[in-house]
Amino acid sequence: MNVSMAQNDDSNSHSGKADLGRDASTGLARIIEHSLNEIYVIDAETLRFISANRGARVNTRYQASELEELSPIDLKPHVSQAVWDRLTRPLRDGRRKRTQFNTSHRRKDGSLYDVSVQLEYMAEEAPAVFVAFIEDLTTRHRVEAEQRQSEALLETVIDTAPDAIITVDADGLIMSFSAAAEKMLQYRAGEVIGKNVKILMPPPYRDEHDGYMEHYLRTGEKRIIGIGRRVTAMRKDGTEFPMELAVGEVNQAGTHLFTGFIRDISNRVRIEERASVLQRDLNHAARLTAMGEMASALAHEVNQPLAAISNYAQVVKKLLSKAETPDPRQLEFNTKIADQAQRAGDIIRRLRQFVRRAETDRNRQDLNDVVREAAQLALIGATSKGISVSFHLEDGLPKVLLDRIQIQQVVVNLIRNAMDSLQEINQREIEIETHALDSPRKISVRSDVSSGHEVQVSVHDTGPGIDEDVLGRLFEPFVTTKETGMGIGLSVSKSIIEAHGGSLWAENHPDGGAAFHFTVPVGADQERQ
Amino acid sequence: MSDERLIYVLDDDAAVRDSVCALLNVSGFKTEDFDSAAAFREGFQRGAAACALLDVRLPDANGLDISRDLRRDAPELPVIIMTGHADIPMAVEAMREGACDFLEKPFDDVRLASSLERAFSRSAPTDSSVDPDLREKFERLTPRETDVMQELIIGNQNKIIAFNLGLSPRTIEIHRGRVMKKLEATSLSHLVRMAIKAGFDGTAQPEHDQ
Repeated sequence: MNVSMAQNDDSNSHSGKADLGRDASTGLARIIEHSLNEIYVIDAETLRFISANRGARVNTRYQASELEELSPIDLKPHVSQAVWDRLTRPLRDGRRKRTQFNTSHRRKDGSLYDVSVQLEYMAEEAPAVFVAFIEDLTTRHRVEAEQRQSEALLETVIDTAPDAIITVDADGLIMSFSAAAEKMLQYRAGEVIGKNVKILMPPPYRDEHDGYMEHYLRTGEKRIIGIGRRVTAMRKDGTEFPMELAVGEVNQAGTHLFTGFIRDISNRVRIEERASVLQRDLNHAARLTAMGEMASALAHEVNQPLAAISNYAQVVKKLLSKAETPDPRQLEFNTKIADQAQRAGDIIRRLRQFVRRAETDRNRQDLNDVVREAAQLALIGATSKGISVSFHLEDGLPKVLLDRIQIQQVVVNLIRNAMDSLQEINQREIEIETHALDSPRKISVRSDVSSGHEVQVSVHDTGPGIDEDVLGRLFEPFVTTKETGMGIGLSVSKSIIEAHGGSLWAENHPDGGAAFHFTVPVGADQERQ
Repeated sequence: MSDERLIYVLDDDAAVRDSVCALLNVSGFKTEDFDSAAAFREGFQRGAAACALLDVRLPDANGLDISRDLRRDAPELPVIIMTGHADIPMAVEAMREGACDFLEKPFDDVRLASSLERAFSRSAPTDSSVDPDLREKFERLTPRETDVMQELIIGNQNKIIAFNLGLSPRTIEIHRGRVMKKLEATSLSHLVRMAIKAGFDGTAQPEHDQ
């Protein structure tokens, strides 16, 4: 409301009657009365409170009648009369109309709180008065402290984030460069801030980046913002590395800011490459093994007619030799038939040996490592199928003499079979186990009894188990042909294991599920130690 | 040269069965053939035949089982095992179970004849005692030769022996030659027979070449 109303109030107090707590009926007076800030009118001479609003009473927790007896100095423990005089002198001298200072107020219960005091001096009034407008700083301080804290937190988050964080403005210039970014890209923040972000990219991306930004700003079409992409970055020394980039956008009052989160995925890429190399090797080996198996089966089959040919040729030979007048040419060619049959037999013998052994490459390996690597490949897709896998790999296993790729083929085969068996099952668990066996194998004639140590690998599943009548035929060739594209069958697995001198067998768990086990002898060298 | 001795022939492959019978017939023997273990068991008559030629792999059994059964039910009947190359370990096993010899397919009539010869002249039942003279022969082998010999009699091929003993296949070949020469063995089956007679029972698991 208008000043005259206020003055009216003042003139009332002028009569000496205290105004404290009087019901203020005028608009402005009402507003002043109900303000949350403390508003006081103070007799400049006596320093007694003439008026104190509700805010003052609430904050100080004094009642109106109590405040009547008090002065500002009473409320301010750090302001003595001398200090007050000094603070108010510029006002009283007329040099200044207003002054402001921070101090503390003491409430009725003795507790303190920080305040900001604005003081005005009105000399024209009678009596002259100070008008004090006081703000409780506690909230403000708290808010400021919270803000500082949250800024500090943000800084910490940015600095400790493993991802590099870079902010860039609408022109592509780098505005901030986190500590992780410094480490990843080998620039100090000072070296890059203000420069175009494209210096962090190898050509040709470097030349295209300006175009991308311009396109986005013009069309709003998001190609990477909110999408994420795999790109290549270039360090200060010129080396490149693969990274995953996520870009966010901040649009505040017309300014575009872009935040880039960069993750160095060199490790991941390396692992992926290794996995794909391994997969390629396994597929190759599987094909060779399959070829070997086929050659074996073929050889076995062909041997039968060869034996028959050979026998018949010899029958003819005998008949010819008994004849009255044996035709020498018949004899000669018949002999050739028999010879060629023998020759064919020899070729098959050699072929079988060659195909079986040529690809064997044995060295001493850490079995757990071999199993883990194969499992990694075999279990691709297991999580999305809801299969939980546990590993119990015994520590300290001796190194085993084996063909790594071949044994891995077997492991992949067993694990994939286990996964297949869990398709329609509720409880989907696979357990993979390795442990050492000490099974003494006595070779009785040797002067020293040697014990053959073996290691055993087991794959358990919680599937439906194996039908009893299938159990016996499980490892026969062509019995279970499931071309999963990642492997070999059980009969080939059995061949591989037996070629290593081990055994492969299956059994059903008493409480459901199947287990496949194979053993591999640690290796001949042991005997000679 | 014709004698009316009957030989049982057991093989699931028709051509092999027929050709073996033909060979035996033209050499003067009578034959009776069977295509499965079941058929054999049905038609078998103790005392009827002078020898049995069994394939080591049959659809419903393996020659090993039949060998065992024969040893139990008709120990006087000599048994010769026919094998494809892959089945040497099993054949060797059969010999330990009492089979008198094994022949690798394809075989020639000379080998067949000598095998039969041996079968007929064998003193039945199989003598399980150890021949000390033979044993002494084996003891003339060097330690390395003994190693190789033991690998051979469980049916391992040269390359496998090479792996197991940590030597090159070439070295194995040389040792093998010396072993055969020293023991005057004319064939692998001969070596196996001698080794069994000399008391080497070689119960170690061979590498299966399946």
